[in-house]
Amino acid sequence: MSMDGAREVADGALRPFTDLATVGGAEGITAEEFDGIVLASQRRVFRVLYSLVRDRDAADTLTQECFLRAYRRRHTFRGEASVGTWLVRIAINLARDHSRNRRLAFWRKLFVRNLDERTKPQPLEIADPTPSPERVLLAREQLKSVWTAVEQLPPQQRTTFALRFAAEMSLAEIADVMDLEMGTVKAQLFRAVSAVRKGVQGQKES
Amino acid sequence: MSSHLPDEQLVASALGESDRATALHLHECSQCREEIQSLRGAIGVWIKEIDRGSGASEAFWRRQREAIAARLARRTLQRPWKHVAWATATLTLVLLAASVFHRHPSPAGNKAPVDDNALLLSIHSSVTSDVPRALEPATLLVQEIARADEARPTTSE
Repeated sequence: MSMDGAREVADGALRPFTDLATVGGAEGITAEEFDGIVLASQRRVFRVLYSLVRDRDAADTLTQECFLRAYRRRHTFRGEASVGTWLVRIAINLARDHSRNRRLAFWRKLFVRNLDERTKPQPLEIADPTPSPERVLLAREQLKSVWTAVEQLPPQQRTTFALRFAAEMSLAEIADVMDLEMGTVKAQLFRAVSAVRKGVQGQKES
Repeated sequence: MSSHLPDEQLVASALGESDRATALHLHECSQCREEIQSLRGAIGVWIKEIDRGSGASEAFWRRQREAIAARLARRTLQRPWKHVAWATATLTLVLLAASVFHRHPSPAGNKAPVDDNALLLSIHSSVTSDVPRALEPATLLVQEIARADEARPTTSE
């Protein structure tokens, strides 16, 4: 569901969250109203998180955490940005913390014993109704190389890439979420796509 | 076709930003077109994977909402107890501090209360005195010397 969906839900029995700032802030929001916001935004938040952490279970947990954090900090929402932007910002911070924790966990594991098979990325499946074996293989290889390239991107480039292609956000929206200039976002996206291209080329050549 | 698009223009074209010259080149150069298609295809496969990973059933989203609501409710229930605990801790600290203060009063508390009359008299004397308070010791010394001179017997007698 897009943010238009959020408005659809909000325009019904629920107060539009985007207008909360004008009616005294999000402080006094009811549980029902908040449930409406969750209903409207959970898919987008999950999508952003999944593209950043590449783990469905972790994305699920972090999506829940994102909304809980938003509720806890609802008094800080001043309506300068839309609720969607605010939630995506929280999601990005959570994904960053998660990656940091995962890196720490990795090093801890490494010191205790060799890296377990479970820490390796999940096997990738491509949903295609009638793919030939060659196409499946090619798509799988492509996907693997894109994931590898994306995971090796610096955090800002990676977030820009995820917001552009996974969350389908415009450059202006990304600039708003990441608190960057449009030109910077454009440059980050350009570098990210260049790196992905190199990764895909490298996979083709090997 | 002797030359192909540089990397920057290929990426820009893949992102949907190509000028007229690039567009013309792409119209004629199948190799560059394929290059862009390949990049778009790879990103497309990645987006498809995100779609697949995020395309959960309605039951998944409902369960997620319920989990959020449950955690929120738990938090709301816990909250008053947290306040009570904080209030109790603060009150205990205040009582503790008060008892310690009561047992060991500050040195200022030992001072006898200043008598109002004595205070008024001292103010009156300092106001009516011709000599500033700082010079009072010197004045006393002069008076002592004068008294001593008076008491001394005269040598002419």
